[in-house]
Amino acid sequence: MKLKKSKILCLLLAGVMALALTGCISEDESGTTTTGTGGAPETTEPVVSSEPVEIDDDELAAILEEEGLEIVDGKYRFKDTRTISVEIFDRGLDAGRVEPLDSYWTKWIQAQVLADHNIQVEFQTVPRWTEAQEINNLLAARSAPDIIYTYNYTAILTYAEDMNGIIDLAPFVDELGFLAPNLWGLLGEDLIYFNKHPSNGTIWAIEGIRFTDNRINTFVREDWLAKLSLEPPTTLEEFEAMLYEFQANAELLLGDQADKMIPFTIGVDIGWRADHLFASYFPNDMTDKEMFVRGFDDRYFLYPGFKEGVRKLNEWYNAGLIWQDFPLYEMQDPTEDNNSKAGFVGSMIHNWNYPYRDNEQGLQGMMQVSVGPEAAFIPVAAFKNEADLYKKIIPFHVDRKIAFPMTNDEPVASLIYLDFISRQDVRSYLGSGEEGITFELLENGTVRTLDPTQEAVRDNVFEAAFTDNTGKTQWTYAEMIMNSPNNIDYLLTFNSEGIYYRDDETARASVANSFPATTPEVIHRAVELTSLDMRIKRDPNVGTIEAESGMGTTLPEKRNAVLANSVTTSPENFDSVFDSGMQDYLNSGGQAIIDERTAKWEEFFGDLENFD
Amino acid sequence: MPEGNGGEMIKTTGAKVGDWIIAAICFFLILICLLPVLNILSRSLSDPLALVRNEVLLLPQTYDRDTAFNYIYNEDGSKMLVTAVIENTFDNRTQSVVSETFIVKEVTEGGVTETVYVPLNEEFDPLLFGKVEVSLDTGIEVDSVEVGDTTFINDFDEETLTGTIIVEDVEVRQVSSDNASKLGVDFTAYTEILKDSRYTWSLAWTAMLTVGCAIFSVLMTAICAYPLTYDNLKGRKFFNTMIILTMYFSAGTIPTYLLLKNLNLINHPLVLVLPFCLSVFNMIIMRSYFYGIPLSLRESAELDGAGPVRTMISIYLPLSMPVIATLLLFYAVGRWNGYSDAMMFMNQNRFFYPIQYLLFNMMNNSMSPDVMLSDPDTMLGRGESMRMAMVMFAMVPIICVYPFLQRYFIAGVTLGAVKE
Repeated sequence: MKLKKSKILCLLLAGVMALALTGCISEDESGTTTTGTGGAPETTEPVVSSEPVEIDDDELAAILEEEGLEIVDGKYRFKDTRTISVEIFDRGLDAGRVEPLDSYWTKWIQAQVLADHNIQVEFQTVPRWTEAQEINNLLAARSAPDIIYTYNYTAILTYAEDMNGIIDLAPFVDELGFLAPNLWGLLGEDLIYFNKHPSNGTIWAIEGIRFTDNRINTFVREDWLAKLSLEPPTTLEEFEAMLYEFQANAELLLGDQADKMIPFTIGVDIGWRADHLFASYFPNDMTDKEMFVRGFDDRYFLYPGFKEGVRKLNEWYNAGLIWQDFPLYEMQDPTEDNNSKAGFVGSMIHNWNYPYRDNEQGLQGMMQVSVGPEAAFIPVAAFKNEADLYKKIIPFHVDRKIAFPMTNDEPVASLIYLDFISRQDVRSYLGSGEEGITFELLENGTVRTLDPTQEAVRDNVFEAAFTDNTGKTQWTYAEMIMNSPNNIDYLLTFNSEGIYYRDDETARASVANSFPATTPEVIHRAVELTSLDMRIKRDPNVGTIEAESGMGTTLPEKRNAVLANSVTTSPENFDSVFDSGMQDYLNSGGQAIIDERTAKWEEFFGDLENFD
Repeated sequence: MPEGNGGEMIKTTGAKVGDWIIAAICFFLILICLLPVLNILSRSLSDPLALVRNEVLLLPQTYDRDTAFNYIYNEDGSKMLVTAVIENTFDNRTQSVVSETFIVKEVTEGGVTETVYVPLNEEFDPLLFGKVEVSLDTGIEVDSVEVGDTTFINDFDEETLTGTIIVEDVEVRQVSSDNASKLGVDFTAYTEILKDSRYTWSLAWTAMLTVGCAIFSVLMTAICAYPLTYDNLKGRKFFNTMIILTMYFSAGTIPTYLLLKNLNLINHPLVLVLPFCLSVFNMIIMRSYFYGIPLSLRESAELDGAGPVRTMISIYLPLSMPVIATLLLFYAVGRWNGYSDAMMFMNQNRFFYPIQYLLFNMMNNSMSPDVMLSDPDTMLGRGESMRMAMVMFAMVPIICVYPFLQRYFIAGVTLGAVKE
C-alpha cells in the first residue's frame, strides 16, 4: 500500500512540475490602440540629439564603406544583394482578389526595391484577424519577418521586455538616419521619437503617421428634422429638445412601427459612442499634466467632469431617449446597425464617416432602400463646453508601430526599405494605383477609387510597361486588385485613410468621392466638424509605467461595465453606482497608474504644467 | 428483444400511453434543438432587407422593395400608396405632371373648405406649386379620389396661383400586411458562395482530409490500444501511466509550435493530420473493448501459430467493427469541426485551409472603433445572409452523414463500460 501511495505521489509531483514548466503564455489583447507613451517634449537635457546626426563627407564615406553601400542616382544602393522579409496582412478577401504574395503590387515593390537599392524583398503573410497571436508565435519561434508591425503598443512592450524579441531602433534611426531622408521627412521627429525612452533612449518601435485627425462625429436624421421642421441642433438644449421631439412624434415618423423609435442609439463602448457629449463637460483649460496623469484610459474616463456627462446619459436613458437594449449586445453585433439601416434611429455619435461607409451595404445605403431616398444622416456639432467651444480631445496621429525582430540580420537594409516605402512617389503610386483600373481622375482634379472587378474595368486588360529582372511582364486586372484598401498593408509608415494621389491636397480633396452613399458636401462637413475646436492629446514618453502592465484589458472592461451600469440605473442610484464603480476602478489599478504617472511627470518635467 | 439474465425474453406488451407521451416529448425536444438550424437556413435564404428589419424567424422572407416607400395611412392603420397622373392647366399652359404619391389636405380659405391634393414629390416646380409642406396625416380617406376629379391647388407662398388639377388616372394599391413582405426564397447567397472556387475546393479538401484523417487515426488508435491488452507486455504499467498523463497535461501553444517548426510541419498539410491524430480518450475506449473480447480466441489463434500482428488483423479488428465505426465517427466529426490547429499552425498556406477555418476568417472581423478608424476594410458589408449561407455550407455535409452513423454514436458511448 505504501508503495502504491508513493507512486501516486510521484505522479502528482511530476504533473505539478510539468504544469509549472509549461509556462504562461500571455494573451495579447488586440484591437485597442492605447496610445502608449510617447512624444518628444522640449526637455532641457536631451539624451540623444533630436535630429539625425550631421556628418561630414569623410564620415559618410566611412559609414557607407562599412555598410556596403554606394550612392547611385542619389539613392543608397547596396553593392551586393541583401534579402529582407516584410510582414503583410492576409485579409482573407473574397473572389476576385488575389493573395498578397501573388499580387501585382508585391511584384512591383520587389522589382523597384531591387532596382533602386539592390534589396530583395520577401513578403510573409500573417492573417489579419489573428495577427497578435501569430506574431507572438513567430517571434517565439524566431521565424518572424524582418519588419513587423502592429496596432497595439502594449504588444510591442511585451515583445521587447518579456520576450526579448525585438531590437532597439535608436542606432539606426539616429546615427544612420541620413540613409532614410524620406522616412524622416514623412514622420518627423515627433513620430520617430514618439516611443523613445527618456533615460536610455531606446526606441522599440517607430510610429507610422495617420494622415488625418478625423475621429468621431455626431449624426442626426436630416429627413426627420425636415418632417418636424427642426433646425440641426447647435447646443445641448437643442439636441435634447430634438430627442424629445423624435420621441413624441414617433407615430408620425415611423407609422405603425412607432414602438421601435430610437431617438439616440449607443453601443456598449459608451466612452467612444458618447465622446462628444462627455468632452463638453471637461474643463476648457485642462493642463497637459492633468491630461497625461489621468490619461491612461483612451476614453478619458478619469477626466474631471466625466461623471456629469454620464449623468446626462442616465437622464436620457431613463426618459427613454436612448436605445433601451444597448447593454445586451456586444460590440460587433449587427443589431444596432440593423436598427439604423431599418430607419428607426434618430441620432448617434460614431466614427466620423460611419453611416457613409460600405456604400449600398452601409447604414445610409441600406436606410435609403428601406425607408426612402430622402433618409439621410448629417453631421452636426451640438455639444459646447463651458467656453462655448465644441472641444474634442484627439489623440496624436500615430498609426501602426513598426519594429525589427531580433532575427533581423539586415537592419540597415530594412531601414532603407522603410525609406523606400515612405517616398512620395511610391506612396502616390501604391495609394492610388493605375489610372483607369484602380482609380479615375475627375475634372476637378480629384480622384476616385475604382473597383477592378467591375465590368467596365475588367474589359481593359492592363499591360505593365516596366521591365523586371526577367524582362517585360504582362499583368491582368486580376493581379492589380488591391488586397487591402488603397494598399495600406504595404505602406507601413503611412495611413492615407483613403486614396492618395500625387500629394496631400489632392488626397484631402478626394475624400468626398469615396462615399457614393452621400453627397460630397456632407463629407466635407463631416471632415470639418470632426476636428472642430480639437485639442491634441500629447503624451510624453516617460519610459515604462509599471502599473500599466497587464492592465490592457481589465481596466477598459471595468470601465465599460461601470458606464453601462451607471447609464441604465435609476436616477436616485446614479451617484452611488458611478462612485462605487469608479472606486473599484481606482482600486483595481487605476489609482496606482495615476500615482505613477504623476511621479514620472515630476521626475522628468518637475513643475511644468503645460507644454508650449 | 433485449435479453435478461439467464436468457429469458422480456415479454413486451402494447405501447402504453406513457410511451407515447415520452415519444412526443422527445420529438418536441428534437424540434427545439433543430430550431437554430432552421433559423440559420431561413436567414441564408432571405433578402438582406428582411434581415435588416430582423423579421426572419423560421421562414425565409423577401421584400417587395417598391412598396417600401412613403405611405399614406388610413384610419384603420392600413397603408395605401396612391399614384395619380395629373394634368395641370395653369395660366393657359398645359403641363403633364406625374406624381408618385400625393397627400390630401383640407385647406380652409375664406370660409370654404377645399380638399387639396398635394404632390409629395418635391421635384415639382416651386413656381407652380409653391413650397410643398410635407406631412403625413392619419385618417384621411383617399377612396374619394376618382378619375376626372378636379380641384384647386392653393399656394403656400405669398403669391396666389390659380390652376386646376385634373386627375386622369388613379391607381390605388392596397398593401395587405404590415410589412409588405412576401414569403420567398432568395438564393443569391448560395450562388455567390458556389461561384467562388475557394469554398468548393475547401469543402472538397476538408472532406478528403476528414476521411483520410479518420482512417489514419483509427489505425493509430488500434495499434496503440492492442499491445496494451497483453498482460505480459514489458513496462505495461509505465506505458499506461505515461499515456494517460498526456491526456491531462500538455505543453501549451508555443512549445508545440516550436516542436512542429523543428519538424518542418508548419504550413504543411500533414500538420492537420499527424500531431493530433491520436486521442487518448478514444484509445482507452478501444482498449476497453479489446478487453471485452474473450481471451480464448487469442489463445486459439496462438495455438494455430499466429503472431500478435496476425491475431490483431484476423481476430480483433473484425470483431471490433462497432468500436471502429464509432471512433471513425468521433474522429471524423472532430476533424470536420476543428479549426484551431489550422489557425495555429497553418496560417500561411491558404490552399489547404479546412472549411471551418476559412469560414472563421470570413466571419471574424471584430475591430474596436479605434482600429476601424485607421483600417477602413470593415467587411461588415458582407451581409448576414451570406454569413448564414456559409454556416449552412459547413454544417450540411455532417448533418447528411450523421443519421446513418448515429446508432454507432449511441452504442459507442457505453462501449467500454461493461467488461465481461
